[in-house]
Amino acid sequence: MGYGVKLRVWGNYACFTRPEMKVERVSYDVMTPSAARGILEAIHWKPAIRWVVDRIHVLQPIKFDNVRRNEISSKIPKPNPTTAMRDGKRLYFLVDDGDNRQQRASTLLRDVEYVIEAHFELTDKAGFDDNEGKHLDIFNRRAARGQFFHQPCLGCREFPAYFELLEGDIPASPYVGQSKELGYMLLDMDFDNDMTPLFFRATMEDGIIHAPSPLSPEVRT
Amino acid sequence: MILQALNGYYERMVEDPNSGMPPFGTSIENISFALVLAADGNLQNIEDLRESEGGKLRARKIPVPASVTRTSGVKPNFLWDKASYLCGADAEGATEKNQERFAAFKEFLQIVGAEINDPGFLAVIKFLQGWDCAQAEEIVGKFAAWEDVCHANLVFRLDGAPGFIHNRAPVQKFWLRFNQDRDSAELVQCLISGETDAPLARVHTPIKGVRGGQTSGGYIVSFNKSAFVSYDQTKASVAENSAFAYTTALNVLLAGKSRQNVHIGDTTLVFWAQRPTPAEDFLADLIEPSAGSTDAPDIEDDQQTTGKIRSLLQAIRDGRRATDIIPDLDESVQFYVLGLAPNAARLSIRFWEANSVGVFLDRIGRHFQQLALVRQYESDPEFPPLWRLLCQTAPLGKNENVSPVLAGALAKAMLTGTRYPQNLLSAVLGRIRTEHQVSYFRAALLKAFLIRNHQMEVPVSLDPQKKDLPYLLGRLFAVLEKAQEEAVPGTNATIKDRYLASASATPGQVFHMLLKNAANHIAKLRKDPEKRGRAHNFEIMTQDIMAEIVEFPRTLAAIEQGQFMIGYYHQRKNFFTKKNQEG
Repeated sequence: MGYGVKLRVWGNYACFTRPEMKVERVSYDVMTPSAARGILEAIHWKPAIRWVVDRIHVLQPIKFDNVRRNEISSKIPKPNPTTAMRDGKRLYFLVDDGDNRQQRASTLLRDVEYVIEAHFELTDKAGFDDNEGKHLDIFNRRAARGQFFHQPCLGCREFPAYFELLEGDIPASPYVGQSKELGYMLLDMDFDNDMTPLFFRATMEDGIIHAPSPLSPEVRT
Repeated sequence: MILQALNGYYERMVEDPNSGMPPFGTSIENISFALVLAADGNLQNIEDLRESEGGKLRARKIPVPASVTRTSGVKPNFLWDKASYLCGADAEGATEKNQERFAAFKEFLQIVGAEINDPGFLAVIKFLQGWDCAQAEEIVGKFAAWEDVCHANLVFRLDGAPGFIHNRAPVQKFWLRFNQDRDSAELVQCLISGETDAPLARVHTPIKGVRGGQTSGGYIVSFNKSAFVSYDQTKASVAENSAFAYTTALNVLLAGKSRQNVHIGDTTLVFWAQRPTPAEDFLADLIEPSAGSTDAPDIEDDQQTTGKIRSLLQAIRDGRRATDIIPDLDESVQFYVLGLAPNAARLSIRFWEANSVGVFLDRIGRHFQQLALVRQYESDPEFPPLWRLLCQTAPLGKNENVSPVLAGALAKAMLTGTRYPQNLLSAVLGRIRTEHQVSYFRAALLKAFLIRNHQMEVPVSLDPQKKDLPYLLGRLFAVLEKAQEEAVPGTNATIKDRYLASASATPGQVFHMLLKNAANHIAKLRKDPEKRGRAHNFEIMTQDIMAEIVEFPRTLAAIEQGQFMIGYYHQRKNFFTKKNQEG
């Protein structure tokens, strides 16, 4: 692929929440492809392109930690912002309210570092002035300068991801020579299809996880 | 990961017919009595199923058709339930609510069993049709004490036929078919087994037996508030049979009698292996060794096990292989340790570690090696269990005062081989300061902490060659205290009670004064002809230690205070050891 990119990301904390353990969060062992896609999209995304994550390299040993946090239990009801915008009113949402407060425990990852290998494809929204070279240049320039649309994060908004464009070789993983079954992992959400979750059987070989295409038969069976 | 491993354990156990793992569509419940019916539905007898345990009668755990999740509504179980459902009466009599329950029970049986043509099942139907709720107490009272029956779970048995009615083949067949028909559930890909087009589990069975949790159980998988939902996914993609498998396996592991769980602080640890291994039976004893020598085990078999565990602990502590003690142990078997703690109606995963048996044994061995310390009393355990260590960090030495954070972190350090929690040092020093007591457990904790977190070398017993200043100061303090004890026996407040905290924190301010006092104490001893020798001893000891001390530092950091306490403990222990030998 001529327009693949390599991005090194790292951070102090990460939580790639398992969909079955969303309340008392428990993270997957490694970054999920959808989390990697989120980071790429934070740096550069346009309707004309669609990111596809190919491989994720694990560069730090997998380490779990435990925290308890005060969070809230409810979302802002959808009509509130709608009417607030329509009527030009102020929008209130009392967060620090005893009934709304929920203490939740999270089992999350510490000191993570990954290399994301990905490429993008043009979508049918691409106009005549969109081409791969242009978007690749934009991405590489923005990533090299450290620009982003919104702060990229490692699974949760509160765990920022630091990143750099990787131009040389990918550093060796501590898991070289090992094979580890990670079970069924969330690949991504199928947004065209009523937000159905897609899973794939993740295996880490030599510290590398290959993400299948969402259209491949192993995902859609 | 966690759920997959539990699922694997269930599959492993269900293949073994002796494991007692309930098959799909059943659950294990506490059952106390069986109503024995004649074929015409008449109540013949009430069989007491309870087992005596330590002089008390306990309900027996029996697989029954899967229980419903009941909150406040009326929902009957199939062919078993409480007396209020089966007989329409409980301690409060045949109230309206109880009659409603009885009616629901009868109706549910008729819906499920519309086509069952089994003499046992028909007997139950006839029994229910002929039953008068108002006379329940009187009729039941003929066979068993009503106050025992009215709260207990009951099942049915057909007179003269072996087994319970819910276990009869045609009944089981229809119960399974009813469950499948009822499922108009969505079809999803199961994220545990990977199976596609599997019926989605709507509610997962609650997990019971986690200490501190609600008695009705807690959930690992739940979506009970709107903020916990993303992408409109209010249910996890878990197939019904996978949900059943992991909850059942976990409930069996958490059951009271299981040898595969341990409670530490507010966390309940369960563990299991991928393949059968003897480690599943003894890991609990390694994590929480019993006191050993002090309480004599009742039976020989117990004694043998205790002996074996002791030699195993000694082996792994001394860095030898566990296979020397237990030859049929395969150290490469994958082992899982899961720590659960309750949080409202949910369970949070406090701890999760998957590794080989050998790695776990090494880590536990290293933990005890670092804790190893000369014992204050003969009755002190050689392998201090975590809860006793933790009690020493809590006010009044009480279990309930132990910080759950500390407990969890200590257990985690033991099982993962990572550093001990940083606040352990301040917790132990804090207790020593308030209680003026350097116990065996506290000194052992300090030793392990200094070795693991600060790579220090700390000896097991008194090392006169050790020249670390804080260690020497600790020893000196012990000598001065002993001199006072012998010169002024029965003092209300010894220098330990008054100055242990300040001597360890600010030796520069305290020691000059202590030495001056000690000079008086030694002088007093010298005047007594019988104690002249002791006075001489103390003088030499003080001089030996003082020879290494150039200057009293103004303050000691927390780590140095830890060394001080260990020096103090070693020296003090040394006094008493010598005395014993002389005597």
